[in-house]
Parts: sequence; structure tokens; C-alpha cells
Amino acid sequence: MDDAAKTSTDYEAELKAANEVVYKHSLELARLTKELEAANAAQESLLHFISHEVKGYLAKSEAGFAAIAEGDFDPITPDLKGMANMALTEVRKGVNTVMDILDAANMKKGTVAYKKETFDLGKAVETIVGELTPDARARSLTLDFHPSVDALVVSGDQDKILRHVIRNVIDNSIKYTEKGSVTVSLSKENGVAQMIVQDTGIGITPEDMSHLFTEGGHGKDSIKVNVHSTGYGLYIAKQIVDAHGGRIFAESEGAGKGSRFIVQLPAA
Amino acid sequence: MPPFNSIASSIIKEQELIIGPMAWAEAQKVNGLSIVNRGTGEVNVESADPKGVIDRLVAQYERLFGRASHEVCIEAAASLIKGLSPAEVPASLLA
Repeated sequence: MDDAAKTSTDYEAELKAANEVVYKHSLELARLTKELEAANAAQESLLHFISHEVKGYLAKSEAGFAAIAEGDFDPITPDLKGMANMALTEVRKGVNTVMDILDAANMKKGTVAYKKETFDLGKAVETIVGELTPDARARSLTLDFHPSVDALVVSGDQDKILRHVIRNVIDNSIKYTEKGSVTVSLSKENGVAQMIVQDTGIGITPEDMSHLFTEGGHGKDSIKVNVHSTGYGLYIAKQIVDAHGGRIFAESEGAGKGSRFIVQLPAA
Repeated sequence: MPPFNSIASSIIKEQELIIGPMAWAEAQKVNGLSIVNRGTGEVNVESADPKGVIDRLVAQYERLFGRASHEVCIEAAASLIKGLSPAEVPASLLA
């Protein structure tokens, strides 16, 4: 029909037909969304169950290897002790991996409780740097620490901040740096406690940067460098920093050009 | 007394999943239906002719979005009209 010959009734009919088409598409979308939500919930529940089960088995293995290594049953040969210690280290890594996955799932569900305690961030970071120095040395890296001139006292969940944020960020830099150095610097500015971890590592491409702190957000080539990466570490770190009213972000000039990770937390 | 308030609420909420806030805007135009609390989905169906109110609500959506929206209303109310006698069920919800 010629447009000029159309009456308002014709236009109304066309509009109604268009409305119906849009409605049908929206209906399909709503149904798919429901299915997706149900599938997600089922997957989450399965993940939770499996993680709990695996964690239980790993915890028993951990206790067994620890007892052997410590000679609880009988004195053992140095070779066996070495093997038991190695197994213990691996099992602990496994426990940490499973815990990361469980923690991430709990954070996503919003079922994580945070403690509120005041602690010296400067001292805690120094301790962690000390603990990670052998790992850096084993990779022939220099791990430098520049403490803050001012006291860095923060308030929050000490264990979560130190384990999932501070240790994780420094440990990542060590793992993703093949040669050169990792430098940890602390400072306080305008009531904000800041840690900068600068490395000479593999760097971050703009593409990887966009999903660095997302759930399962592996860098494109990061899995080649760190085969044990779960992709949950920085996601968990961001959830914790956000929950404390802070900020975590990264900077890099690109692949092969090193990275800077900046953690900012409100000073107490 | 059939749960007409719940039936209306269920229909509106189901439509909301598809067409968004427009579902509430259209429901507001239905005579005999008042929205008590959009957040909780609480609505009030006038007791004089509750079946008529539900029929008008279903027709309001159908007028704009066609038969598919009518089917959505029937599905949304299905669990609530289960067990009611045909005389108690609004005509628009009888499949």
C-alpha cells in the first residue's frame, strides 16, 4: 500500500504488529535468561560441593604428609623426609587453590563476613616481602622493599587483606617476572595507605587489562607462564579491597614492559 | 475466595520480566486494580468484580502485545488457579 494512502488505523495495525514482534523477542530473551540463571545456580552449587569434597581429601593428605615429615611415626630417611615435605608443599598449594575457588564463589554470593581490626600494614607487608624473598631468589629476581615514612595503620580484615591482596599481588609479580626485579613501595597520602608493586615482568596487554580483575580473568598468555593460575586471585583481591572502601588497579605499557599494581586502602 | 491479588501480582511481575517497567504502567491503567507497593509486588484487586479486573489486566497486555502476552498471563497464573473450580477462574485464564 502506498504510504500516502495509509490511514491511522493502518499505522496502528503496523505498530501493533511491530509491538508483538518485539514482545516475542523479549519473551524469548526472558526465557533464556531464566534458563541461564538456573544453569548458573546449578553449576555454582556443584562447584561448591566439589570444592568442599576436594578440600576435605586434601586436608587429610596434608595431615598425613605433615605427620610423616615430622617423624610422628618413626624416624625417617632424609630422602623420604624430602619427598614428604615436597608432597606437603604441593598439597598446600592444592588447598589454597580450592580455597580461592570457594572464596570467590562465596564472594559472588555475598556470603563473606569481614572482620574489623586495626593493624600495621607497613609491618605486615615487610613480613610478607621477607617470606617471599626466597621465591624471588629462586627465580634470580631482586625483591626490593621501600617502607613508608609514615605509619600505615589500616582497619579491616587483616587475614583477608594480607593473604588475598598483599601476598597475592606481590606473589603474582614474582611469578610473572622472568628476569629483573620486583619492587614493593609503601606510602601514605591524603589519608590513603598505598602499596605499589612494580615489576619488570611480562606486562599486560590492553586486551588483558580489561578483564584482569574479573572472575576467571586470565591474561591471554599468563597460563603459559603460570600454569597453576586459577584466574580467581585478582578477582578475590578486588572484591576484598572494594569491600574495604579501597581501590586496586594495574598499569602497564604493554606486553614485555612490566607492570605496576597499586593497592589503596583508607588509613585508620 | 480465590487469590485474585496474587494472580494479578504474578501476571504483572511475569510481564515485567519481559517488557520491564511498562508492565506496571499498563497495570495502573486497569480499572479496579490498584498498585499498593511496586517493590514488593503488592496489588489490590477490587472485590466487586475481581474476575473482571483480571480479565481487563490480561486484555490490557494483549491489546498491546498480542496473543503471546496472553499466553504469558495464563502461565503466570497457572499455579495459583490450580485447584479452583472453572466458575472461580477468570475467563481469560481458562486455557
